[in-house]
Amino acid sequence: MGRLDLAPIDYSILLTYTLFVLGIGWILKEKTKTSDDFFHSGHGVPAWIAGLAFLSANLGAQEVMGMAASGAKYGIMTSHFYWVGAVPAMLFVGVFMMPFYYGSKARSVPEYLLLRFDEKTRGLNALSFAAMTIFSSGVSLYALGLLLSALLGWNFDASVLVAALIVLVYIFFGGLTSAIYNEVLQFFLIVAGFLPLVIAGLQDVGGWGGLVERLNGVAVKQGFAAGTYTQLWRHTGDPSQNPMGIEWIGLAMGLGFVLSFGYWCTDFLVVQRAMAAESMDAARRTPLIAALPKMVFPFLVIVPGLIAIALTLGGDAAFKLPAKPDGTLNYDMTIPMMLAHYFPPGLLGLGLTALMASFMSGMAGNVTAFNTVFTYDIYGAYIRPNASDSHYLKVGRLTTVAGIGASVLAAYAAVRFNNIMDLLQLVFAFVNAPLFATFLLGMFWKRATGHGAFCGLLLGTISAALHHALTLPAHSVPGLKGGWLGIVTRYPSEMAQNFWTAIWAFSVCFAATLLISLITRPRPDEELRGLVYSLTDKPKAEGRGWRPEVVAAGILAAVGAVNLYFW
Amino acid sequence: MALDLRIVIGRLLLAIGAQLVVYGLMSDGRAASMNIGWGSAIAVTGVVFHVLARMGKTA
Repeated sequence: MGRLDLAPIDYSILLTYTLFVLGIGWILKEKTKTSDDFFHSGHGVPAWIAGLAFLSANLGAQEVMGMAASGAKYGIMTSHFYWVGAVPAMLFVGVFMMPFYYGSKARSVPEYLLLRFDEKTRGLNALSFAAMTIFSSGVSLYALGLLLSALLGWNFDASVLVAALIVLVYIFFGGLTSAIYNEVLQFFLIVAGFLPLVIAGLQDVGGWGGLVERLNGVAVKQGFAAGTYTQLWRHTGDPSQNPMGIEWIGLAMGLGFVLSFGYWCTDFLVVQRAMAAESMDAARRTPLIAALPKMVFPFLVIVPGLIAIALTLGGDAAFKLPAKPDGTLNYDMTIPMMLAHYFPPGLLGLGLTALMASFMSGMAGNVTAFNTVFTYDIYGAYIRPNASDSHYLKVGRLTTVAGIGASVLAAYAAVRFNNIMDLLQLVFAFVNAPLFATFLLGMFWKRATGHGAFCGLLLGTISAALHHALTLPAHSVPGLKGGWLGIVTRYPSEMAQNFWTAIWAFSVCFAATLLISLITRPRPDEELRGLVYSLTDKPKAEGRGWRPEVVAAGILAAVGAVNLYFW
Repeated sequence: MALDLRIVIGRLLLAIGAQLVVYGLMSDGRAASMNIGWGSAIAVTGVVFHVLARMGKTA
């Protein structure tokens, strides 16, 4: 694809955003005096800010560009990530799990595992989570460098280093508060930058009706039934009936239950935002507030993908997604190509600023989660326990520098792989899927033991690795994408393989934790109060305002209606 | 919180929206209409956040 020439107005908007970001970090420097300020925003974040940050921490590079790319590749079925996956999981964490996270006074997810189970389970989770956040942050940085060099012709090294430096400055000074502020700004930038894109694109294709008509033609041309790209469930009776290559049970279990609940309920990156809220009520409302905009986000990030594929395969001469060297479409370029096609100078700068904000915010979210887990669950637990608060604040800041440095290294390591996004999804299936089984049993079954949790986590991750080693997506060669021990099963797509890897990891962890817990000694009830559902007083809504259970039921009904509408 | 986030959001949106409107006024055709239209909407949203911050006590 050709490179974009930015006008001075585009650079001006980019610069405006950068100055705001750095300014926030600088102003917050004076207000960040304790480790609680740095790692938890002093537990003073109002629910609406925590809610938008909870949502935006997940709006990194993979989400914004990846969902548009998946929209182009798989059609509206990509919305399952939201309407079957994220939203129900967010409601569950708000209603059922947040009372344990917030009420237990744990400072991190691994620390909750220490309180509920034991030291070894905390250690295992802390190490795997720290590695995952650095890897994930490096991928954000790598994708940013790649985008800027491909799209604008900027130097890859300079792009990576400048972005890393900006994130370093605002996290180093302002800690989690700074990250949360920037996540909320990023949310508004994405809405402001992508809404005009969706509207301009829909106008171009003749509105929603025109888009559906074009996509029907595309589906038939691809060998699927008309409606495959615009209907959610109707073509999931058999994997061969839809471009995602998955049947309804794999979708509902793999994505809807294991992967989504695993991510939204146990990943400290998002849970940290709710734990920074000013009260138990605010913490419980945080995921519920996030669930509302999350429900409408497919219209902002997936519809551009639908428009792009309708234009590309619908015979429109003015717009074509670029092809990769192997001749397949380069779906990852959907958003940049759409911005270049529809936006004049000015709005183009805003669209690119929204993209860059999402890259940097995604990276900052990972780094703040990393510095908290490292400082509390690795350094404070194993290297220097019982040090002063100012010492941990200093370590937190130094860990931020180290985390950013490690992310830069991870970005350069990512250059060696040709399909890093698929690999990242796989890592989530390895780490988050078994962890969800551990939490489910830990929070809702008082008989679950530390030995059971630790062995279950280990066996779950090993089973994920084995499943990956013995299966391969179609059109792939054995190696990074699987099949490195042999090929027992071939999946129609990488997505289908990831969903089933997650189901395996969850099931093995669940069964192993259950069995081993039954043959090992449980902790007495008194030690588990506030940590297990049956031994904890149910939280009551404080003062005025709505009850989380009622709001969650309303949102669940709305998401059910959306599923039925696009059935 | 340390800073009123509504003020920060308001100022950022106002700064970006105003730039788009000014650029739109100096352009013509599609660049003018899109930048003036969306720039105005973004700037007005920024003003709304300022008003909300003035009306409320805390963020």
